[in-house]
Amino acid sequence: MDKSIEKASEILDSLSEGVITIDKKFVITFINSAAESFIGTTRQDAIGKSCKSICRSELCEADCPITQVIKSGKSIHNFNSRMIAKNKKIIPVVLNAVVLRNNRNEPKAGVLSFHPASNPDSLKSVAIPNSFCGIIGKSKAMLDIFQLIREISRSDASVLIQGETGTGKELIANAVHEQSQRASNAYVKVNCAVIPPQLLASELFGHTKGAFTDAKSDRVGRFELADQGTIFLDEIAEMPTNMQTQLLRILQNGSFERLGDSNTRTVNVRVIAATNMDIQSAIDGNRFRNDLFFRLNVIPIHIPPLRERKEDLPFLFEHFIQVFNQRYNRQIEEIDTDALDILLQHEWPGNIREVENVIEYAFIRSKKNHSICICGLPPSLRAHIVCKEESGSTGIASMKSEQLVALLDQNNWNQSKVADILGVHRSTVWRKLKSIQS
Amino acid sequence: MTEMLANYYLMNHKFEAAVAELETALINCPNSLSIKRKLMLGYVITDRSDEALPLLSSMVEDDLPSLVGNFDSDEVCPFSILHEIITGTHKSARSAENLTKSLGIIWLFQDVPKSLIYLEQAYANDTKNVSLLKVINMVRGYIKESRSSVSQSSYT
Repeated sequence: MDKSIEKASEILDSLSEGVITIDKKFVITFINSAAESFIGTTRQDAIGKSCKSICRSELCEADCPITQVIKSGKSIHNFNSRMIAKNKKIIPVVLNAVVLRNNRNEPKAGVLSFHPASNPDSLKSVAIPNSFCGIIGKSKAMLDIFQLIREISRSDASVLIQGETGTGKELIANAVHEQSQRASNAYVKVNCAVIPPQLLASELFGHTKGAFTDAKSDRVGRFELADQGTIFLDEIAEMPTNMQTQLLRILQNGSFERLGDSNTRTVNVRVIAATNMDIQSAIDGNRFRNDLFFRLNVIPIHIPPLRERKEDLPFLFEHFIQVFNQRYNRQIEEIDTDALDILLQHEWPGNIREVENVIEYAFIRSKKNHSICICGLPPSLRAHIVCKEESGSTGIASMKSEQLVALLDQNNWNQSKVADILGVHRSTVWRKLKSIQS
Repeated sequence: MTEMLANYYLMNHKFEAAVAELETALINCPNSLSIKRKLMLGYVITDRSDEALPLLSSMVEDDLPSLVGNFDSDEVCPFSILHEIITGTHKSARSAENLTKSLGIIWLFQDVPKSLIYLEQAYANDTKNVSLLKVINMVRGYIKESRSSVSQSSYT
């Protein structure tokens, strides 16, 4: 080993903080002694593996800290998260993440440092006014759901959450887990729609080395990771019927086999499932097993769409204004009466996600410093109403480059999403971006 | 925005997001072979083979021999997974023409003659596709050249 590298390793090994470095492909290039001991792994075992297979945090596939740093350009400090040790124990950790860049300022590697959190309560949801476990709502329908979640806190029964897209099914699932007796154990989320069907069995139940072409080593499935805890199966109606049979078995007696393995394993996992589809028509069309539905639907939770609980809208507006004030460093205090009228009359087919997008759009487009006016609303909402504040062209062409870059940054540089927010075609965003870059 | 972020999306099979990242990354780094290759594969996997072809064409033109047999050096998008996804989940959504085009593109990195068979099948159904024809001609030239060098070496 190069002497300078050896020296650096010695220094890092002397720290009480765990340190893991990864390369551009999220493969571990170094792990210090403290990290080995926290996670219960060895350097030999960890180096060369993908970081998500070693850290196994619920953030790995949702929004890993390193990718957050890449997107925001800012290092993360004292971020509360959880890792799953090799012995499956959940370790609440406080972590820092930085990204190393090459001479063209492009990310080339990442460094994670972490130590176990001294106060696991710091993982609880940040208190948000008019909310329950981070879910905003004061309508009777939502208060009833919150009450139900409290009532089932001592139960391990399966929960089936149904609701239109954007109604916050995942937040409800989080709340069910957070309020349950399993709250300090593993909480694993799986979106059944995004995992290719042929890989779903391996994801859920794991596989042994050589089980299929790409199975280069044994892999623990999500059910094993969730042992003693909770698994959240989002978009359950998208699950292929052959997988539904295996899921039914695990719901019945907790047993399963890894792909390519004849050993039967047993886990104790609470299942929360969610769907935005009409599950009854899926059953009628033989796309969803009736017996699985009854197993899952022990505690049904139906989240009403926003158009049926418009009394929650003002609280949601207030919440997202606070969120975006912080994100965009603005001081918006209110929504003008005319704009508010339009927002309250709207039917919100995209539910809370649409509210979030509309308020974000308004932050970018509003001409006033302290309020959101009609000109800040998306064209589809304001239709023919013209704002007094609006003058000349307000299309993407008149947008400042920093505004566009900020909006792209906030949306992970997803040009399609930004185009949706701005109400223009994706190619228009691309052209504008190109003109800025040139 | 960055190749590293795109790697993360590819690893987690968020292909649309990966393509969006790679498109911007390529603007910033137009000569990166690794970005080009991932973007091209991203297009293939998201059923946008016609957008993949110009990229493939430029890579083949630059250095076809270096592409062949060099697929799994990039572990974030291994060939077997890519092949399974194209022929499995997305198969029903893809037209038969796009499926042969997609297979022609990915097999080029593993087995050139097999790739040529798929590419020629695709061209038979899309005879106005200039990018496709350009790739086919270069691949044919490469196969011819490889065969002649093999036969020459067998005489010496």
